Amino acid sequence: MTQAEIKLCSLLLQEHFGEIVEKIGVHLIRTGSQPLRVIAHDTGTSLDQVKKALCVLIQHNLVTYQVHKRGVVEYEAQCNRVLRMLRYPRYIYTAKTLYSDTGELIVEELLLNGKMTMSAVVKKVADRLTETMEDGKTMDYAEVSNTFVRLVDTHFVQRCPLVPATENSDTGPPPPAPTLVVSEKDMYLVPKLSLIGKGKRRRSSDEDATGEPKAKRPKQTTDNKEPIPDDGIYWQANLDRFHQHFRDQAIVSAVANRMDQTSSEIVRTMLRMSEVTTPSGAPFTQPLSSNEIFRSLPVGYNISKQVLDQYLTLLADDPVSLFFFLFSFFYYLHKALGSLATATLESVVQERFGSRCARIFRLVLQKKHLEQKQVEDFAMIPAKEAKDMLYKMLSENFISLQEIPKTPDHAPSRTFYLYTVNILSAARMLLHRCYKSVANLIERRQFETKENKRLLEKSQRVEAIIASMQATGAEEAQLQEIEEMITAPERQQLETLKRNVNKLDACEIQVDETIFLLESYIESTMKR
Amino acid sequence: MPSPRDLWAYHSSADMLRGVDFLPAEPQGKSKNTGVGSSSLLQWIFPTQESNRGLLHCRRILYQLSYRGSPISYDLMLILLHLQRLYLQTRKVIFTVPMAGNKGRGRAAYTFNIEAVGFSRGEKLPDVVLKPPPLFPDTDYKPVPLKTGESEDYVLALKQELRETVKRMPYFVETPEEKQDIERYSKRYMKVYKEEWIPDWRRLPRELMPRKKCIKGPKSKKAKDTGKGPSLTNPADVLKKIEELEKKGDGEKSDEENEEKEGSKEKSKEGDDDEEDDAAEQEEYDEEEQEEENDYINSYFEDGDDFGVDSDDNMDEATY
Repeated sequence: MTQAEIKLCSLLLQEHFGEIVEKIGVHLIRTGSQPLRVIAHDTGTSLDQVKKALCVLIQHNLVTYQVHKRGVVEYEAQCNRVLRMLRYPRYIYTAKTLYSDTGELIVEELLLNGKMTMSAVVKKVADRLTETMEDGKTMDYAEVSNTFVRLVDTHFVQRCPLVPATENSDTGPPPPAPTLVVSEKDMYLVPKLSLIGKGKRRRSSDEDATGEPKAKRPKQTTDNKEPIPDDGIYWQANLDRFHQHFRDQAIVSAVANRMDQTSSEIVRTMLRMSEVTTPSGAPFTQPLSSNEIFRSLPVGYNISKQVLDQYLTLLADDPVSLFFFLFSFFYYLHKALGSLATATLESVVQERFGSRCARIFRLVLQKKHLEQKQVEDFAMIPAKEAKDMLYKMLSENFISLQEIPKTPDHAPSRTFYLYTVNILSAARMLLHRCYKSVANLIERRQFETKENKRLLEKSQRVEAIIASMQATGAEEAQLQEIEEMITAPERQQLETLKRNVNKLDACEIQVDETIFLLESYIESTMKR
Repeated sequence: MPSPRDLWAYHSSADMLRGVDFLPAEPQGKSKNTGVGSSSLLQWIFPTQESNRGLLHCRRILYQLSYRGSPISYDLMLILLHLQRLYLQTRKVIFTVPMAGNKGRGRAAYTFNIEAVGFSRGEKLPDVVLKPPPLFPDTDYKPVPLKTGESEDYVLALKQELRETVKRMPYFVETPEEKQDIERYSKRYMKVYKEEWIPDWRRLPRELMPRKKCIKGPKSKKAKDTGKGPSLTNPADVLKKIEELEKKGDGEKSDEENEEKEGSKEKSKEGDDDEEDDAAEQEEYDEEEQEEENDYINSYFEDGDDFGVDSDDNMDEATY
């Protein structure tokens, strides 16, 4: 794991789980798989805290364990999974667009808790939805379970690996750790549950009471419960499926930009048809005939068969594309991702170095290998500037040099030096830079928040006081007096802080989109 | 790799500047060293030595200097003037590319076409940079503005909400902070009550489980913290425990006991009833351990207790 990735992981873990978990997690990422005692010894934390941290990390699928011989259990962290934490808001938003508020809350609960049983999810989501509804209405469990089943059917939610049911538990000593079994066919099998009930609304009068009884109440409700019917069956969010969805979205919007709306719809249909059947790493989708595509087009589109055929031929002949045509059509996903990654690189070069550099870059990309003189000629840029730009891009590793010696002694005067773009290595370099920038953004945001910590605390306290006074019934004048505790320049400072933090957050989200594109491309090349 | 231009700049400017200071600082004879040192310096400055008269002149003077040992101020001035002139000249010389197979030391013969690199002879090079680049360099191009729109705003709001929510989840393990001396009024309203989270122990390795089972709310937390076993602050209880454990008749137990006694100084007191229960539980647990790790206990230290973690003193006792 590169330093940039480790730094980013540590920042993410710290934000989500606190410092102790962060220390353990980063140690595991750095050193690979380790047993419990070694972790405690190396990090210098007490064994209790290490245990707690490991429990949290395992619950969230960030750490896996393995039993080695002699009963030693080793824990290993998944660095990639930790980096996904950056993308949680995007997953939740996608669920919202596909399955509306219910789906959104289900996915949110699953992401926040790592893994949960279906009944627990349904209950929590119903409660949350009930609170947002108007007085008197409650959310039915059945509706929530329906949405849950739909999510499972489209593979957005999947089962966690199961603990194997051992009947011979008294024959030998129990193993130090259960070996979890992944059953492929059961992954999306929803148990037959009849969850009957309605969401409970938390009455607002409870919130004012002192915290103690409120904290005890949830525990009491869990104590006197009947055994949960789906005990032991845990569900988690299937991040790969979300990634597939993002990738399809990116391809469809790229086609829409390049051609027109209709062709993008055709592509969307094709991708949707092979959604569930294509494994996540496949370079091609399933082959489809044009008849099938015609039948599966969305109802609103009334294009005739000939027009569809024309569109398909057009898409297949496009040099940049994305499409492949043998006797049936299938989508060349790997090439699509490559085009997307290339487009990202081009736009980065353009924004960083200017449009002329971008012209040179695209030229070298197209012609694969070019000498310096040829670059100047083809790009129609004067020699000195062309050289300057080429060297600038070379120093930033967007372009690389390929030497072709004429003589065996590689003398520089008798060697061809060709400029070329190696997309994979440039993509990796850019990805590394993206990780660095996200880490910088998070650090800067934390710094800004820390700088104004005093002011933030003061405003929080004032708000708390106002809220309590409003609840107990206070006059307008008193409220105003308390609001004036925050002076005008302080208010301005708070405004600036809020704006900056929003901007930094928005930057993180957008850099994450680039990270996603580059990561998918690199992953697709590795799987080939 | 540093470009040849940088190398040249480094050698020439640094050495030359040093050389210029070097000569006048030497009043009288550190004779031979002066001669040798400055001649090599001169060779750096005057690459094309055969054709250069100045070098011959300077050399002659310097040798005279070194052997005579007397300050010759006029000649020194002459040398300095020469050096200055040549410094300005040689700044225009672009490359001394050290090549194997070159004739002697000298001719600035470039084995490749200098035009190809991009600048011709006699052209002024950009100045040498002698410090690291600035931390926030000016960029020529402004960054692209961020995307705005409804969906972006929503995702932003989600992100900020999530950030707040995770702090309230039971998974957020807080570092124990020191108590403040004055309890503030607003703390009453800002306290966040977290639900307790109990993982599904069937899915986790057994060593992650705290030693004692969680019984009830606040007590269980203390139990988790102690995690080791009954606290034996009472000597009477210790004796009782010893008796109980002696029934097992194992040397292993005495070690654990010792460890517990030492560790118990940090723990809080608990009621007697709890101790009884705990002793019973502990015995059960130890029994199981005994069964599994029979052959390996003596030599191999994987007994899943918090054994010897907090005090190294125990290590000596335990190894057989």
